[in-house]
Amino acid sequence: MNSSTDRLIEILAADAGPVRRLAPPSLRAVLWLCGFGLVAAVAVLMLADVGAALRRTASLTQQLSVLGELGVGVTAVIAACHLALPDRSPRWALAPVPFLALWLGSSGYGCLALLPTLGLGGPDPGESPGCFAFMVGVSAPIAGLLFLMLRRARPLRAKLTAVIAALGVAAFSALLLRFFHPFEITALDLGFHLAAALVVIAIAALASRRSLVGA
Amino acid sequence: MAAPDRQQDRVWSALMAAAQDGDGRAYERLLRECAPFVRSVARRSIADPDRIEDVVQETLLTLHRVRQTYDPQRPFQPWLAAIASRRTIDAMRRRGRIGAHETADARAYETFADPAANKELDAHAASVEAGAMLADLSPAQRQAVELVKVQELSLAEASVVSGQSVGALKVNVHRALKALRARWSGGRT
Repeated sequence: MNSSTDRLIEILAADAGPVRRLAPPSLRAVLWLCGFGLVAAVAVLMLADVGAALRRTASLTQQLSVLGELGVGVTAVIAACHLALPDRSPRWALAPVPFLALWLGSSGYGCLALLPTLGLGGPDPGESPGCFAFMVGVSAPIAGLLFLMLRRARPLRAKLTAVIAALGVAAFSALLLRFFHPFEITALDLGFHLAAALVVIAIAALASRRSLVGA
Repeated sequence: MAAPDRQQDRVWSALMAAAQDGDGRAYERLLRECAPFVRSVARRSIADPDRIEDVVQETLLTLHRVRQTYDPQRPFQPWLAAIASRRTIDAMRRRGRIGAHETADARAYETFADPAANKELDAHAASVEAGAMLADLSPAQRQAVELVKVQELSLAEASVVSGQSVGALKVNVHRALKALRARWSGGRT
């Protein structure tokens, strides 16, 4: 064996203190989702008009959008926990795709259906930039908590893990936004929501190594 | 996986579980036994023995850093192979990046009448001078520069190899570069 490799092995063995094994990835994801769900539910009940939000999501397309957002959030968090481990398939990254299609498809259809009554921007087009700021602002603490959990695995596929995690974060922030949005989501709103999601994902990708691996 | 492999996998899995619990001897045995396996993974994509050894060392360092992610209920070899493959790809990408800025030239060792063309000799003289300057640094500073700047290890990896904390490495690299810069500019004036 190469002498420097030999020396490295001696150093690593001398440095080998006990480590706490990570819990199975699905369990870690479920625990995180439960914690996040609890905090989000309390925040919504305290700060939002839940009745009005429920009335705004009475139509089937809006309900499908909510299901899509929730599905993307849950599957992306589970997928990110798996992707963070060395021996799990990169195909986990595809897990949120069906819900993503449902989210984008139903939201797009819902906006088209609202065009004749609400127009492109709804009664107050000036709200749309606020939606963007809300989504980015709410995504930051959620992403912080999620990345804090993911970085324990020091993912080898840091960028892919970060992108999928950020997709889930963006979906959850879009879901939370529904409780504070004053009217049904218009085409202009949807554009700003997608732009916010892309910004969150781009920031996560750029900061992936620093935030998940610490390098 | 063939039967002997399965048997070996069970042994490595048990050694890794013991290592996670802090058994240094089990860990050392595991690293020594699995190094040839890592070498064989790297050899599928890389021919140069020195670069293969670099991949082996990078893989062992990564294994050490992520050893908490191994689940003893699962086979060990796919976990190790995934790390080794990743480090092999990294080495190939690094090589590709370097190759994009270098051109092979069979006449590179010739010298020319024009002094500006004798860069090879100048580079050799500079490397001798740099070696002498490094030797004047304190052992901790020299080690920090060699690991972080010459071998291009991350601070975390260099910390594991040297035993210095990440903070101490940063301070030592900073002080070493400052000292080298001062000596270099002093020697040139």
